[in-house]
Amino acid sequence: MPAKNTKGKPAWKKLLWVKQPYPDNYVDKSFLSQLQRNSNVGTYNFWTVVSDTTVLLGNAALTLFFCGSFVAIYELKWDPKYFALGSSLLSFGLAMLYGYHIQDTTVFFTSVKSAILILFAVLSLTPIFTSLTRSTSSDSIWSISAWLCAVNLAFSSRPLPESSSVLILSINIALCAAIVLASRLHTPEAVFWFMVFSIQVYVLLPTVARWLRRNSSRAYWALFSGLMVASSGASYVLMGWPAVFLWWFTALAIVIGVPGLFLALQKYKDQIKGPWDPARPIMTS
Amino acid sequence: MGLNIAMVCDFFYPQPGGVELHIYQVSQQLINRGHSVVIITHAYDQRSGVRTLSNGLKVYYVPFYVIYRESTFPTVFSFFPIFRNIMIREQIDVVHGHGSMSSLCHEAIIHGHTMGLATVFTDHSLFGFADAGSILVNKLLKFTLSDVDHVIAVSHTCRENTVLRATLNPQDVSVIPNAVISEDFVPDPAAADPSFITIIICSRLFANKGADLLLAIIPRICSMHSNVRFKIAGSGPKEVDLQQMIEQHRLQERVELIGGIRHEQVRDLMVTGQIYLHPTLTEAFGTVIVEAASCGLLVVTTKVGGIPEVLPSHMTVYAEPSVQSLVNSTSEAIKAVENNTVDTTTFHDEVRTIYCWSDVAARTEKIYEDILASDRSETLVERMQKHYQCGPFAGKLFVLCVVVDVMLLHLLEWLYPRRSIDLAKKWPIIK
Repeated sequence: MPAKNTKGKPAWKKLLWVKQPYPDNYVDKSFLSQLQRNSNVGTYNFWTVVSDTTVLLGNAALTLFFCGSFVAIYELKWDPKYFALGSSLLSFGLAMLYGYHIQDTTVFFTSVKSAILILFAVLSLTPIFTSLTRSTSSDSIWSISAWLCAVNLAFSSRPLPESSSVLILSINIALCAAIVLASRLHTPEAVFWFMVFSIQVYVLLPTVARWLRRNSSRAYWALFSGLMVASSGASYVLMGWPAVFLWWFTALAIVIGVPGLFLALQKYKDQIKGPWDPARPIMTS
Repeated sequence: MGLNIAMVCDFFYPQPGGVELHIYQVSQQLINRGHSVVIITHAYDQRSGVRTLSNGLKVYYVPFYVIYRESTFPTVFSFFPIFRNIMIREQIDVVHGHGSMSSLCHEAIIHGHTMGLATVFTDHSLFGFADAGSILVNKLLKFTLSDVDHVIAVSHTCRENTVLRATLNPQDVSVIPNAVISEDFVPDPAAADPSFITIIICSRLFANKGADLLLAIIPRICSMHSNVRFKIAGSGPKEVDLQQMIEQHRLQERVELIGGIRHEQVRDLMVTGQIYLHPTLTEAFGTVIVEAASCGLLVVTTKVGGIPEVLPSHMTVYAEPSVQSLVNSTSEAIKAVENNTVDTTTFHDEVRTIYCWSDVAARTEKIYEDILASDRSETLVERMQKHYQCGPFAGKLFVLCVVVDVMLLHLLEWLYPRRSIDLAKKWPIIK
């Protein structure tokens, strides 16, 4: 390029309105100089990604605990009343924490009011839940609930804004899973107590966990540890120590392996940006 | 010795637009230079068959099924029989396709290459790399441009974009800008109302043309400058929002919505203003700002795409694509017009010397001649190798398409032998 300049040619300019002594297909050294690669790709810290992965793990633990609880009630004839009482105590504690956090007693009483309303709604619907799947074979119900749990796990673990329709869908899917499983229980009381338990634990706890993660990391980690203990307990009840070890191994693989894979794949990221991309208008003034 | 050239594009008259105008003007200029040009497009409603426009410019309106915004359904092979017939009838040497959204153009380049003709492609627009639509179009472009001899881009930015999208050698891509017919965009200093400063906007009202920025800046500029009024021509989905903005800020007296106008009316609108505002978000070349400058308007434009290359800096006030920057730049332009610190009377002559169609045609002609003079021999295996490199899945599919295309050519030679096709009589060349 400098060799050409010494011959008296003016330097090439990226302009159309000047007639330049270069052929139309001349390639200047400035060609693609405005190309930016991976310009808005952030760098990730391993432990931050691990911490983010615990959302997925927490939801997996919750699903395991929920399924374990159902098996304990259905197969081992544990009394669902105690499950419901335990989950209600947990909810009460969390509601207190929420009211304390935002320094507003009315919020606490509104949540108690809506809790009572949900309770009565479940109570009045219990006969329907009890007879809902009488004519369906158990195998079909296990299959349906397994799919619903899997879809819920996939949906509820994504980082989405609170108003996202995917989150509402996920809550509804969790509720469906709870209802089809509850309909397998034999007495209306058992159905009612199981519904109370599963609405609090399986349907609403992921939302609470998401809120805790944003506002109080200590409470989140306490909840997460609780979930891990509860899921390990559920594994033990289901199949004894081998299941517990299998679950721990899986959990460790998720919490270390997934972030590791994510970071390892970062080097293949090749995003290109340049003046040809449509500009993003800045509307604020 | 004049060449026989076929321009192929889905978009042509009666549809208005930049690509359509470009094809028409280049064809007319090439005819003036002693070549024979035919245009191949798809049928528009009742307009089907062969039509002849001024100067003996023949247009083939091929009946095809249109799927989206005047693009035909991509059938890959169904165009080949009639395409081959036209190529032989008109004794075509060069196939020149326009526009990456036109499937007719892509098919013509592939079949033209199969028939051993010189192939040229002109890219008129910019594409991103991230969304699904762009990925699809880019893959298709890669397929077609493996078969092309030379590519023309309308600006340097457009060229960089095309090279990246189709993984081409930049040497094989030339930059030839668009032009304007400067006689059609003559300024008329008497037409503008001296008691106001009139800002003209002439653009399709789409989000990618910056309609949202327009909605935000008009009320602010109106409140800042009491002697400013707006005239907005063009239609599109954002027209209703614009109407609402006018009613909300009670600007009925100051903002005039003209609606869609024909290209020949643009000049008469432009000369009634002093400033042309162009808040677009993406633009490969931006013919409209050249037209505005040719009419003697000071241009306020966002600095996006190929726009910074198009006009000399004394004709333009640049802005970033943000509300604040556009308001500042427009105010700067308004002040310059009020205080007469900018001389717009020279704009027309300057633009006339920069952008003229005869220059575009001469540069295009040089590309045709260079291709025909170069060694274009390529074995089928070499061609297949080129296509095979287009991607792990797409490559195999493309090779299959090429093989079928070659077989189809032989089948057509057998079904409709070359000697049974009548040659079209050429329009007499008037020097």
